[in-house]
Amino acid sequence: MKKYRVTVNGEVFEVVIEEHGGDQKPDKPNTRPAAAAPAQAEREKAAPPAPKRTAAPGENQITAPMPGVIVDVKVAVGSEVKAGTVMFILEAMKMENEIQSPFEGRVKSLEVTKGASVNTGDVLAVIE
Amino acid sequence: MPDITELIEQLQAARERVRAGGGEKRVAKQHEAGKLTARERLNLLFDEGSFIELDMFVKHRCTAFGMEDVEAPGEGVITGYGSIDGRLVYAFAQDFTVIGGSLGEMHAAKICKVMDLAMKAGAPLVGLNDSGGARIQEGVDALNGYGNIFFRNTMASGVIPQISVIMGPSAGGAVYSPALTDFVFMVEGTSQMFITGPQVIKAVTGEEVSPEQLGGARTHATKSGVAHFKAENEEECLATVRRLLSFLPSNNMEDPPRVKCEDPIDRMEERLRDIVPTDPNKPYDVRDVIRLVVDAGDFLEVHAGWAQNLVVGFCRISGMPVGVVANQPRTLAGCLDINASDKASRFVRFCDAFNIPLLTLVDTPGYLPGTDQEYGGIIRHGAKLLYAFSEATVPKITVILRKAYGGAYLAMCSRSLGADQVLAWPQAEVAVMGPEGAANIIFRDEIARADDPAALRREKIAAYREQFANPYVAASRGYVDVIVDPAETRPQLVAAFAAMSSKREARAARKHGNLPV
Repeated sequence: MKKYRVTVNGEVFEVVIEEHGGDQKPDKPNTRPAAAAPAQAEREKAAPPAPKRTAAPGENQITAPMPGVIVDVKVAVGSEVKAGTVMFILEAMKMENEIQSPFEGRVKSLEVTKGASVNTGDVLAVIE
Repeated sequence: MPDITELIEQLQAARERVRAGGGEKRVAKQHEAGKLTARERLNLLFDEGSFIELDMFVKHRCTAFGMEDVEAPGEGVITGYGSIDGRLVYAFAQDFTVIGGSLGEMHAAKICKVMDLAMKAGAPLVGLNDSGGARIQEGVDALNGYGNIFFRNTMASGVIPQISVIMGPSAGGAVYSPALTDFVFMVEGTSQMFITGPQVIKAVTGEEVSPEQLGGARTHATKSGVAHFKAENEEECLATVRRLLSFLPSNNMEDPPRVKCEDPIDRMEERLRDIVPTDPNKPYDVRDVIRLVVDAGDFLEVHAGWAQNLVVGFCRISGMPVGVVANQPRTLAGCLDINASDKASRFVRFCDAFNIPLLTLVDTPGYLPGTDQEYGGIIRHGAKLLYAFSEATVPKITVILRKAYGGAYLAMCSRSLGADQVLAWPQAEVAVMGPEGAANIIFRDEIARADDPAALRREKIAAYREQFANPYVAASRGYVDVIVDPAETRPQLVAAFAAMSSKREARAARKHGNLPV
């Protein structure tokens, strides 16, 4: 049995959540029943975002410098890249921006495909 | 009575003791670390044999914590003056081999003295920094020493060019003297700058970071923008300092040094017709344009690794030094953002302070959208650029290469901000906003009501482009003075700068303006 205090639209609800299969009898709920649904929604919303992929040692990430759409992927997994190799074309601010690799290495993974919308900082590829 | 020969021998011996610095062992250690000694650096910086040392016999006065027995030859800093390309320059070089180049009362007093002399003589000051920081034993006297230097840096700002070269550690308060100067140089691998070091950061926030990652040359030349120049080694670094000085006047009352121009001033450059694609969605490297327009392709880029969506640097046009500010469509589509605004406004203010004319090359779609920009205060930072260009009284010539939209068009030294001459290439698009955005707003209702909104939208965009996305509307109002064939840009610029060479523009008397810092 766990108690949560949840705020929805500025209104505070106390929510009691029973673990399924627990042998405890449910306490008499001291909250309004309506609270359960928003509480659930709230918990889903508050769920921690998927952990951002962090670079392992020896790996370098290529990230999006600004929000836009990937209109072309110029490399494949396994391609060798040099510093300055054009890897993606990112259309943003009405410009076909060349995303170059700042590193020399091999493309370990591609995290986006043609047509993908990306935000600033999104990982596009990993170079090792 | 000793005779004069004996006295001279004593003097020679005393000089030798000071010149030996921290002794052979420490000098060897300095070399092992990939660093030159303070004296070797000064020899590289100045014309051969021209450096004259001052204050070599200054001693510290500290008696606390056993300091009375510590000998510090030269007080850990070499100061003096000499010539660079035949022109007078003052300098100080901290000597890491002498108690870690630490800064105490008399060490600071030596630096302050050359700063005062440089100000009186109206000559640039170069500081070679390599110091462990404040000499703790000297307590508040050391602290006061830093304060005295900061004050002089500020008083000299805009009067003489000040250059800081970081060639070792520079931590805590020591970083602020360089930060107050006009240009900061760093050397890859051996120089670090930070306010709080890795240990403090680890203790307070738990973050683990190496000194090089935290405050190395790469970090400051690409992430923070603290360093204007990054060099592979000390020799290259000092050579770049000399090159930078060749563009700068000795003080604010002089014009920058003019050299004989070997590159024909009437050189037509047909390659310029093809460098900038007429398709506004295609990127290119604006530095290719700069190199073809200026004398002999000679361009010294400042802040080459930071805020790359805007390029600044020094060049010459018919022998006269000129500061260039240019949007870089190759990076972030050439958008203006917080860092680009900071970079350009500081550069423009430097050029204005030292009588260096400004050439602005415009190709920008506008300001970079995003919450991080707005929360980061792009309004405050962007305002600096408007301020800097408006305030500048040096000759200001602008060339609109392609896109010039909205607020960003104004910010890039438009006629409205006081440009003396605005040129535009035939593919220039000068308008309040881009065709896509404009069509969406002007024809919003019409497009929404249409049977085929997408088709009508395309049609309206084309109509807008036809009508407004060109240089002729702006030229019809006189906001653009001349529309030129890209190939004739160089002769046009030579003429425009020559016409403005004795420009005078008065400003109302005031204590100082209030730059939106």
